[in-house]
Amino acid sequence: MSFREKMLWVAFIAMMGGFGFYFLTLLTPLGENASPDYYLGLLFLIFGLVIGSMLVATLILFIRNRSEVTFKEDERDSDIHKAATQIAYYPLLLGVWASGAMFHNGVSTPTMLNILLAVLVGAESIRLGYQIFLYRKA
Amino acid sequence: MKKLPFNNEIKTLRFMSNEMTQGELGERVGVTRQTIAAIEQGKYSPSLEVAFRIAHIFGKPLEEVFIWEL
Repeated sequence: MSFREKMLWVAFIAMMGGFGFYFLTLLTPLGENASPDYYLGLLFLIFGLVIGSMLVATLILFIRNRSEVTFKEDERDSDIHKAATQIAYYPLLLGVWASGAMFHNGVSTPTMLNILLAVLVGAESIRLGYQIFLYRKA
Repeated sequence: MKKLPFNNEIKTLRFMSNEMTQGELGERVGVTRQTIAAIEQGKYSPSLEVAFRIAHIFGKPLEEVFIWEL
């Protein structure tokens, strides 16, 4: 497995773990009745944990794969990157339009922001996941 | 997975070039070892530039490295 692929796994796991926990918490009775400040605090905590865990994992991978770190993205990496970005664009576009429609129908601002965050996290997870799939396939 | 319409002789040519590794070939071509492995296995279709670079390294014409099969 290449350094680039390992980095994708790290980002994918950190994102799914961190934001998965955040959105599951929101769906619990505690999350449903919590104030916007609670959401915000939890979100900052999750952001910190996701970024922190990615930094630590990157540092470990950097030390263990020094010979590959300097490799530039080649044409296959670039093709995989483009294909995954293209695939993730459509759920992002649909999600933003659907969020706009929900906002028009009276959804509260904190809920709206959480829906937009879910759309963004979903699209990014699809992008990362599809890149991993393409690397594994070939 | 869709099969590519051409085959290649990269593995044989590597072996005949002092058992050159995929990593060494990748380094000389300017791609990763994983990309060379994917090309060799027919899982990735390289650009014309990379195909020519590979052929040039082995000192062979392109059609002796990549063989059209349809």
